[in-house]
Amino acid sequence: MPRNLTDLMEAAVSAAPPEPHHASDITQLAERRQRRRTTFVTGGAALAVAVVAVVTVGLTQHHPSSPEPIGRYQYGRSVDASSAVPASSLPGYRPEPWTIPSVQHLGPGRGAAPTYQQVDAQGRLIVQDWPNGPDRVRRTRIFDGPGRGPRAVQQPPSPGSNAGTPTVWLPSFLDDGRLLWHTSAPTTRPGSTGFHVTDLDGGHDVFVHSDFGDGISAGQPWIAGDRMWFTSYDGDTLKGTSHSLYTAPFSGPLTKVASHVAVAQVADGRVVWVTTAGHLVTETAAGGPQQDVRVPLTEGCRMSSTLDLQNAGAEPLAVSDSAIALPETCGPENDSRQELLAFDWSGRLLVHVTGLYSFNPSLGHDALVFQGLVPSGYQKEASFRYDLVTGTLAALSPVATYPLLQYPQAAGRYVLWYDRAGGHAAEFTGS
Amino acid sequence: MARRDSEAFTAFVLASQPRLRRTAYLMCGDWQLASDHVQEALIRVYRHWPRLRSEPEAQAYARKAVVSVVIDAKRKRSSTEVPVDSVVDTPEVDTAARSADRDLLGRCLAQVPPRQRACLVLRHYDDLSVSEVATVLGCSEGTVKSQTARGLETLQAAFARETNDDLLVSGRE
Repeated sequence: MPRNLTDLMEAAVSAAPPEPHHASDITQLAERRQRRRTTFVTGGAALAVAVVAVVTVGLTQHHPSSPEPIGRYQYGRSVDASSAVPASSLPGYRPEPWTIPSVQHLGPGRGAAPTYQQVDAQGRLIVQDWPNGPDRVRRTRIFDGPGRGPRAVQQPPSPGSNAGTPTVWLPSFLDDGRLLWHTSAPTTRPGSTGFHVTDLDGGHDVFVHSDFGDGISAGQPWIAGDRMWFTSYDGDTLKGTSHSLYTAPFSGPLTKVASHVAVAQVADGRVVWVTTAGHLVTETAAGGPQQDVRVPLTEGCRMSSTLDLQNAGAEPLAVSDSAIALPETCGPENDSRQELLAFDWSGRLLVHVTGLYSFNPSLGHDALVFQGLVPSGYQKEASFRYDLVTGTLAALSPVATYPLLQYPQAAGRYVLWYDRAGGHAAEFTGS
Repeated sequence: MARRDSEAFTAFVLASQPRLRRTAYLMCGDWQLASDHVQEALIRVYRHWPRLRSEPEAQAYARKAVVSVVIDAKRKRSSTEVPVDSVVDTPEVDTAARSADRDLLGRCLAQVPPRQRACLVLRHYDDLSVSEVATVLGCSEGTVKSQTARGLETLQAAFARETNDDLLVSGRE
């Protein structure tokens, strides 16, 4: 029987569970942030002047750079999805024999959740599950390799709760082998907004306050060394949401790096952002001048709009010490498609991927990993790996109609991806 | 903010929170996340509270904040369902039929990109006009129309795959 969309929506929201956040708690939380903002604004006036000066100097020092091409990479390639070979046919393909369940079914009508969260450059795996059912506290474990037990990790002290709901710390791998722990939900306990950085055992714990007042808070920051970067919502523009990009040392003052930021990324010591005007700008995590990078757009294509970039999956921008990957928009406005570009830091094209609506790029060691939708009907999708050295495009999963539970990720020579059979991790040593 | 303003803000939260939460839920598919997003949005509203001169103005600002927070959060996470640590018990009124509707819609909406989903929810649940949706999303009316059409197309295709049936929309301009 045909259904009416509005009726279906009404039915879907007709049985809401009780609201965990009480109105008075929200007011108190808002007041507390407002007080911090006042302190921040007063104390930070002089700092703001300095920040403006630094940013102004940075913006005016555009150093056209022309580093040497990376010798081992193939340049100027254009590859079509139809040329993709199965990843399992590649020399040097080594699937990791993980036996831990990669999917947890949450019960009737509640769908399924991926348990493999992240792989690092050493092949370690972060696994998250709900051993006592999805209504209970989630468990996070780190495994050093298949067949090995979980690493004993000292978790940071409890982050407290959010309106009676317990929150937990969730770890993720940092580039330098440490762990970043962020909370599963905002906490209302005064002074508790922040994150922990520890070693892989949970030791050498550093707690970093991340609420700078005025609504500026590093919810899930990028970390390089003992410094964080994060974007903070500024407002909506005609073509999407505008952010400011901030940085701060763990114990130091906040610095605004850029305004009018559409998307940003920090990895391998590089900070990269695309402005709402469509410029790609970079600086090193160690500081130094900001540089525009000329994006080698394909003829007939253009920089994706802020709106398109912000709709382009979980991570529209990928960065490594040797390359950048982002989508470009091709074709007429009313029938455009999104194709993927990878290029080096001087803007030399490495590869242009055609035949797919591509998103969620991730750069590992000599490899670009991404998701792609087949343009006809946008129903079928798969995960792919392009080898920057050999120029080979490989399909990590069969092209099929099913929701991928997790977007593909590259770390070093390892790749983590999901397909209909669940989650997989493999090492690629062929290039 | 003066105490009477705090009281007025609390009253505003009490009055607007349920509706905003339902909108956020339709956009993100998770009640706990929806509650967190609405909390974050209402904190943004608080900062602007002295400049919001009327109830409709505050409501419009709050709705805009909720949509921004949800879309912003969505950008940072996987496009798939990620359950929360602790789920509040569902009341008994959640009958099997309603539960099935909720799950069906959730699965279908999950296949629609965030901005298009926002257009669908604002147009077909919050009953906003194209012009009002454009104001909330900070974009042109043409963009709202195209995003709504593309979102609806994706949603109807997903619905047809799930049910072998049609998903109809009310006759709005």
